[in-house]
Amino acid sequence: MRVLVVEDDPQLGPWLRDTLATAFGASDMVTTLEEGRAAVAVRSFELVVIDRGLPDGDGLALLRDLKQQKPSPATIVLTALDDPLDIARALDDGADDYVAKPFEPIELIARAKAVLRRLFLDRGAIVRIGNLSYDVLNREVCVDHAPIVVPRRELAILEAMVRRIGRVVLRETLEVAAYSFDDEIQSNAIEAHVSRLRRRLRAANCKVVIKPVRGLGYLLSGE
Amino acid sequence: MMMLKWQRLKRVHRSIAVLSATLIGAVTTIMLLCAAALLIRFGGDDDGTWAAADVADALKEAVIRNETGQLALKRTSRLDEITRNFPTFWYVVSDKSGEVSYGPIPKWRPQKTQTSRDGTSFIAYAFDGETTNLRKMAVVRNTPVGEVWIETGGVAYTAAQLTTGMLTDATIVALPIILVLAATAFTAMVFVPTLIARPVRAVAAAAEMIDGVSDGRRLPEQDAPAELLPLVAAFNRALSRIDVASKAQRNFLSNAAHELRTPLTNARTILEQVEDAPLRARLIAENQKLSSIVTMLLQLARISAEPAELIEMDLAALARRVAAEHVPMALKNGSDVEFIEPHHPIWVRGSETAIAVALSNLIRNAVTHGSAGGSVLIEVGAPARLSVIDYGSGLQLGQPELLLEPFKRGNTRAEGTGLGLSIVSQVMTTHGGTVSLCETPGGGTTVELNFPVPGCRQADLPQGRKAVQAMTEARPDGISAA
Repeated sequence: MRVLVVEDDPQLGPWLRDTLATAFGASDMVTTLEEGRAAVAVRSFELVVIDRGLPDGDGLALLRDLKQQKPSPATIVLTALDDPLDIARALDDGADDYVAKPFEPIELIARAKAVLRRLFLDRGAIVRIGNLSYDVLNREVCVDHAPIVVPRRELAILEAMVRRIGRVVLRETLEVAAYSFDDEIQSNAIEAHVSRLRRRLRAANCKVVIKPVRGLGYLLSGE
Repeated sequence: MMMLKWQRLKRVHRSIAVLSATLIGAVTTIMLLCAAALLIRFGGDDDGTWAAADVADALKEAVIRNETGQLALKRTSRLDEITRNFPTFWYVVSDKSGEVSYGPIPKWRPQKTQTSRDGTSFIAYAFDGETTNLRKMAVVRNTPVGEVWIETGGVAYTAAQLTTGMLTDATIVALPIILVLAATAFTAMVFVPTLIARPVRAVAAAAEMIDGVSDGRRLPEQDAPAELLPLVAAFNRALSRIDVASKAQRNFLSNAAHELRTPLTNARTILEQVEDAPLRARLIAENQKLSSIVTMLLQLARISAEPAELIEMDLAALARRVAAEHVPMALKNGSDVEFIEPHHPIWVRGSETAIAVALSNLIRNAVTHGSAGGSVLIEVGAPARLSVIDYGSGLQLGQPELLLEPFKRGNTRAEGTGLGLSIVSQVMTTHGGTVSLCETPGGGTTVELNFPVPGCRQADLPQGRKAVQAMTEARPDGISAA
């Protein structure tokens, strides 16, 4: 996997490059928008981390170029601005996530992993969480490489949770994922599906944990 | 008593329109009185005409016939008064049957002619040579006893007598006119101020539409009356200056954020290179604390400096989203999160970002100060209440409202920045709501945010007031929190 860092700060830039290289493999660093455009033209990256205040302009300009690319990389915007309007603008322009400075390295890595997982899910890749693997294209669930049968609605619920691993998936999100507009939803239908899904995974000796959060929804974690 | 009445009068707002209407009324009255006085003054003394006419009427009233059918005069109070007032008064009243006379009658008297008729057809004659006073007058009057020929003279009114007489006469004619005038004046006093105040009220209504958001909104100058135009223009110029200042403040905050955060981020990266692991951990902890102080100071400055745009929003949906975002952090710190909401939206007028910041701070506080392995309860309730409840060690502070001041911490452990609750307080102030801190029954802290309900007048919660309620809730053991 290749990561591009667009950051002009002589201290932060190299550090980002090294940290991301340790986490994801190869990593390149450029310091201007112009160099950034040149880099993405000659090479394809899976993740681009862009600072907003660059010497030759706002990092959001590069973001718009990247979204034109096919396939387009996952993007994280770094910002020292904390104005909610600035953050909203970054997300509107197609950033997959933003990280406000100053940040903890562990937080950046976690967010990068999350956006990459969504990217691979969108590209139809197979996502692995612990001993569970989920094939988006074929809608196939495997535990320790052995396929298990998961009914349609439970599969939709599992996919929604895999997309937002480590974060709470609201019950209303699961309802939208599992049911169409016309379906009548029983008040405890989602609970019943999750409960069956959990039993099914446990029976297959899956290590993935689906934690209920009272009043909100569920949280899927890998351990 | 007088003092009290005066003070009460002074409290009534002075109205320019009422004042001007009153002044115009007063000036008109004074001018009318002056005109009347001038007329009377230049009208001069009576030359006898006025008095003689009055005397003729008095004589006409007194004419009777005695038992033999001859002409006679009865005594009347009016006649008596004239006799008393004018020593030179004389008269001759005659008809075909004879005549009655009184006083020093002059030698020469006019002859009654065929043209002499009843009413105003009197003939004045014989001015005195030395004065201009009329000395004699003859007049025909129709009385109950028939037509009589009256000759009289030797009377003249003084100026005072003349004025009194004229005014008495005038009153009868003028009274209806004065009543109409008074009614018109009263109506004008009521309606003119209202008419004059209408454009003022229109400008005031336009000013009410201007909220705290600097969006270049101005008072309409084209509709303002000429008198108000300078005020409207000055107000608009003041708004422009406020917009400029607000933009400068916003720029300053952005720059300050950038300038403070970049070195903090760099320092954080350099700290990774510290070899000594315990020292590195301590330095990183300090760096993180400094970072969160900077973040929260900027949040506080931004919320105080920029009045957020308030929109109609569902408090329950926002709280659900913010609560969900904080679950991973809470789980990492060993706290469970529980969310309770009604089965319907809770509509409030608010800024989503500001309320999200406030709620984040409360959840972070609850996770930090709550008991390990305990849970944090986030509850949304009617009419517009948002509570964050933990079951930790509680406030341990005599005056919980002190916590809403910047840099005040509830516990002796120096965790947190001491800014979270002041941000919450500031957010609630901008929303016209209240913050209350109290002890959770059974131990812990409950922070309750109450928002004004849209469409419901909050007469007892004026906007901008630092609305702080320190509630004291009796605990089961009978010990009060505050």
